[in-house]
Amino acid sequence: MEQNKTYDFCIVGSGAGAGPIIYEMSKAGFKVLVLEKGPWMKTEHFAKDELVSCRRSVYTPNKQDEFHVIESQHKNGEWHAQATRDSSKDYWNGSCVGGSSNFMSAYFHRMKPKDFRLLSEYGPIEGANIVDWPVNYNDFEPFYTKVESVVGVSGEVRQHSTLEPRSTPDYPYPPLKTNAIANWIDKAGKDLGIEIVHGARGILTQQKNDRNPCYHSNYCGSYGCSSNAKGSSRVALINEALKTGNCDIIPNAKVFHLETDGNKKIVKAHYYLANKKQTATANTFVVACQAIETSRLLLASKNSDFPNGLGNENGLVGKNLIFSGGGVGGGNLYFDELSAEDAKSIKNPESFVNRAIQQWYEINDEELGHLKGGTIDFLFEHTNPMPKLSRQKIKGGKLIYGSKLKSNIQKYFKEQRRIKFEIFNDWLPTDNCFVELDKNEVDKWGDPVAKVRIGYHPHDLVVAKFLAKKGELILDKLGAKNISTGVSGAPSPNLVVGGCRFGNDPKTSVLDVNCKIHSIPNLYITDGSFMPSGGSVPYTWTIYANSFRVADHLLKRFVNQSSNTI
Amino acid sequence: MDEKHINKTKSIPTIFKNIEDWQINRRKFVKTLGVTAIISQIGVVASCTSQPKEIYEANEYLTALQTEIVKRIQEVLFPNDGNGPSVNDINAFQHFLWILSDQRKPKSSIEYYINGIDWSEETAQETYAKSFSELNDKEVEELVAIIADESWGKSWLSIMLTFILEALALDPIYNINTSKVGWQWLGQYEGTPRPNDNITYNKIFKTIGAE
Repeated sequence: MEQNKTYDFCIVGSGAGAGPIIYEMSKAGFKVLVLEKGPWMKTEHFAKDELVSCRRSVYTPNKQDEFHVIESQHKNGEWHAQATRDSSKDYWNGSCVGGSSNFMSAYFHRMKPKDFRLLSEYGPIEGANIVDWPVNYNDFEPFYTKVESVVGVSGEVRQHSTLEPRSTPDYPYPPLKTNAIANWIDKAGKDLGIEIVHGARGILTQQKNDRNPCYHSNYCGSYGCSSNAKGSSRVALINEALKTGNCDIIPNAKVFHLETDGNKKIVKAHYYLANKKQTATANTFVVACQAIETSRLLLASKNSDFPNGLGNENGLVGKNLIFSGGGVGGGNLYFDELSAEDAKSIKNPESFVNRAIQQWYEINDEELGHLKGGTIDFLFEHTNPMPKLSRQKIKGGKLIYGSKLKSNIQKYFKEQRRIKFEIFNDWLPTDNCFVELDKNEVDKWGDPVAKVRIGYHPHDLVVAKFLAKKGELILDKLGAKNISTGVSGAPSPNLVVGGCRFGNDPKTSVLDVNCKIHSIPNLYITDGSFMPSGGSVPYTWTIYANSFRVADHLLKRFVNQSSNTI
Repeated sequence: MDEKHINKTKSIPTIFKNIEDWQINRRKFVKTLGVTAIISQIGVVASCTSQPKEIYEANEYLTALQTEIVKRIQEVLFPNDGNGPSVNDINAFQHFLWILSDQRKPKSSIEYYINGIDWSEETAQETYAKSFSELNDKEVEELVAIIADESWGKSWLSIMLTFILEALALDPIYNINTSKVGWQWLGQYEGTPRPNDNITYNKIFKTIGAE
């Protein structure tokens, strides 16, 4: 690649928020440079190795070098900050070409029309900064559909009460094969009068170009895909962009500053490569480093044009960060309580379940009233053994070891299979969930790390607890024992968006409707940072769709110019 | 025993202070049912008592005494009781040494693993007025129960146990889980592809140009 070349687009990051831009701009003939802070892992580098995939920091930075400071609230109300370097917490999700989309479980749900009008539909909630989106579902629908075909979404559209309007009758790829438990859940739902939704996945079930269909390794979430069936940004979009010859990628390039020209236009990205400072020039810049790091980069790029950080004239960069509300539940299906045939069915290593409940996506309850609900996704406990083993060694706060431990382990692995559910409901944006630059801690390059306050709104727990009860009904009907649920305000770091919400008013939003920073003519943010609220579903599909939407805007803005040079 | 080790304050690094959180995050919540008294586990360890006394040797990371302490505690934590593999079958001690050699682990963590060994010796001397190396098997079992009731001990033993479980269940390419004995005992479904030599934890950073 040409180090001194001026690119049409310089894109910081390469995950789900970046991939569609890289793909569309490269295909349209623009010269695209991608700066990715992590290494370039190829498909052949992935294996079903639990040590590498789950137990050590291989796909994420070493926390001794790069970390976050997390500020959480104690019971006495005081906020306490702790570096993740010194704790078990980790807010990295995948630093490599393709980002965390390489490691997603790829539960793909669209947001629903009312999610775009959260304030109008459900009204204000004290202490929550709820707003309507500046666009509506119809603006997004074509791009959700585009993701289905370009990234690859498999499933089967079945009519249900909360099905989103669709411009196509069905998914382009048939549904994944599922474990027999899926049929049991269907029946349990029918018996209970609960509507079961057949979930879609961003995983191919048929050949697509040089991507092979899923071969059901049963090691999916947290693992890189070895058939390229999983619709990661790297496989589905970046590999295609590379074929155009218009896309250059520099891995291990950590961008630490975006330089402006004195007239509020970005002219250079400054980055570290092999610990040396480098610069890249381009006409238009796109940042998609995942929500926390995107806000960090904007705040760290303060200069005379932007003394408080890029786009931060109103102090909004980093504000209204959102995780996902919800929790998890589970129960044990004991083989000796099932017929031999049924036991054999669910012992089958096939791990896909792909069933969900969205009947209470909107709650109308005598006690709670009319409020936004959420999604309950069913899944088996992951196949990899370490979490199951580790769970056996602490019971009731006591360490279990010796023959008792070995006996417990054997029973857990041989006598049951654990069926679980995950709840996704809105994490309401509040003044207590935000990103700022830490004043004391720096990373290995000496740059301030992101400090993240992770406060939640108590309303989130009310909704999650309501939904958990519904999930438990299904588990009970399935015959599961030891049913338990955990609902808390602790965030799931892999589900993080917001921090640079988009909107029509520059006084109340960082980005305009096309995800360009209001005050900067050539800087776009295309990861999940734009989201003012998250809906009650996992975010990846919406991030992909929005990035395609922004790409569509960029094509309209630039492709009709006399040449491809911007 | 180095005196400077014995006199150390038994402080737990922050990262290990809440051992439940260390292992189980929100999405891995499990409801616990009842409490099992640790002491009830004493006496169920079998078979090692009649073995000829093993000779423990120093290595690059541990003194002979530290080696003995780790090995004998591992045998209590995951005994050779006829149910499944023993710590020797899964090469748990070598796995611990491999962890000590991991330069990507924080130094404070490595120090804590070593400190726990030395604190075990200190506890042996406080409890029995003799070195760990002079304890009989019954006394080692009792000592582990005592340590497990200490805040540092619960944390440290839990970590030591995690390393044993890693040796049981991670890929045999790491010279553990020998001949897949752990997977066979667990009935663990084996994912494919398994790692090759170029993409193991030891090699992958070089392979992908990240070091």
